Amino acid sequence: MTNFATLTRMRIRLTLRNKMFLFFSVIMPFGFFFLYAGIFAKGVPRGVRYLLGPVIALTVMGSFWGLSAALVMFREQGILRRFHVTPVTPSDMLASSIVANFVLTMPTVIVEILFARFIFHVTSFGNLFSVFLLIALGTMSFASMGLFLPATYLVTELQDAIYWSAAPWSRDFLIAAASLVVWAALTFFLSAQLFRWEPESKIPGRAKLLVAATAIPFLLLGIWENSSSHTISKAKAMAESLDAPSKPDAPSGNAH
Amino acid sequence: MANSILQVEDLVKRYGDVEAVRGVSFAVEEGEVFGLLGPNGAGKTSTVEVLEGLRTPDGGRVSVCGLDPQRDSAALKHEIGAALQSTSLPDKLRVMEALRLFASFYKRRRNPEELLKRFGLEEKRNTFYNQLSGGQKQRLALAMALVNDPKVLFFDEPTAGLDPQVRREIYDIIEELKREKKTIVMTTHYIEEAERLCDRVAIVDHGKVIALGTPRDLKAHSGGTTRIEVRLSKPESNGTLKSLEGATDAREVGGTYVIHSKRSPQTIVSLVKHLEAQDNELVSLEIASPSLEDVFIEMTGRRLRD
Repeated sequence: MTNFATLTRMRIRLTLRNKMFLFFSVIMPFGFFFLYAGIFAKGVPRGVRYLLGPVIALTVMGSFWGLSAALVMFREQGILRRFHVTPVTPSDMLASSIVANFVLTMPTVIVEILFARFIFHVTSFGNLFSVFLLIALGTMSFASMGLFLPATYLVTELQDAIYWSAAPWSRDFLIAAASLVVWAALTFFLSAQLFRWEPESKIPGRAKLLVAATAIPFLLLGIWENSSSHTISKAKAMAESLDAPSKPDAPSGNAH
Repeated sequence: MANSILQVEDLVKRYGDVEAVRGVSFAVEEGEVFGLLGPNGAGKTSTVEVLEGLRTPDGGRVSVCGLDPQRDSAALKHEIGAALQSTSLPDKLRVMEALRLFASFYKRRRNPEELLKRFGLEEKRNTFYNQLSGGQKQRLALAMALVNDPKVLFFDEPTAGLDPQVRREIYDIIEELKREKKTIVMTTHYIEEAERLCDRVAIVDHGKVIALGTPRDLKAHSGGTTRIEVRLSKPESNGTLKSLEGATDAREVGGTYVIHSKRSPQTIVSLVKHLEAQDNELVSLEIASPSLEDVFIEMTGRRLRD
């Protein structure tokens, strides 16, 4: 536990000293924020509110890339080998990455919400508790292996939470949260199993099977989502509500 | 042997089709500095990395502090300290932060301040890792190996790539650890390093131990002859030189006469007398005492080069 804590502190400190971090975690997210809010949503509060979900999801993913790239660099430079001869475990290494990632992403997300509030006059952010719960789950599931599926759930549910004020107990929210939790747990387990300290070491064949096995439930879920067009119809509903006659200045539905 | 702090029996390590370690056996006693000497690719690093628990052996048995590096990996890591080959630290980590961070991983700890002082890094305490010189990085690596006051230390090529002066600095540090009766297993391909620092040396080649003993014993065993190299103003026959007192062999190699002798002072005296009688003169004379290099050449027919 103490190893995890000291490693987390080190990762945060090192990231703050890294100029790449500034780009991935500060400049890029705000760039997207102003691009989406100012141009795609034309600065209209309702539109900004609609696109805030995807922007926050992008922020979460962007900082994930920064941090996991750092871990890969640590391996390639032979830095992880030095940790390997200490009592530090792969779980310590991964968990500290995730928590450092979360701590470093939160301020950007909060500033984005504040910008939406004070620059674009978005007055309601739906269920903020849901929003932060999703961000926490999102960081966790991305930190291990950022794949397409958690991205879908994170984007649509963040939109739901912000736009429809989805409460943590709504059915769709529970499905999304549950899949993010399962995904986070599975990928964490897998990553700890597959963790490589050495630059040249190969992933054992047994591990590849494990990855395939983990992907199956999500593949099925994906097929079901596709055939039922559940997620897509939800996006349509949201887009259509933007085009509702009561808001003649709302942006067009194909904004994203 | 039964209570040796470190034991290796018939160790085998393969990488695909390549057998890097092919049945290595040795034991290290507590308080001993044990060296693995051999050319690059001899299997020294693989052997050490199995002992550290970094690599899984493909055969044989290994025990460190009575622990199996694979099965008892977690417990073992508290007992060992290592300066690895081709290791690095994050660029933007400061010297003192590195020592504190690594110390925090262990139950038993040494004071990082004291290590900083001892390894002459006090002035560098707040310097980023990427701003240190090669020698400073290596001193930090050695200091980091000591943060948990380990029972066994592993130094893999501790002076590789360092210039001679920095190398001597590292020797001083290892000699000080030796005086403190630390158990050290080190690998090297420098003869001088093995002879100067190690109590016992295993000479490794192509994944096998080809000779094992104290540097003195190894040299004595390989004939223990001193090499005398002379240049003369007039040619001399090899036969006459071989018959000099104490000489065991004499050959002309490119204008220089190479004489091997068991008693070099007597050989030189009789050489000078002989030359006076022949009205010949000594142009130059060089004496090289037997080294582990001679042992290696004798056993493999090759030179142990940098």
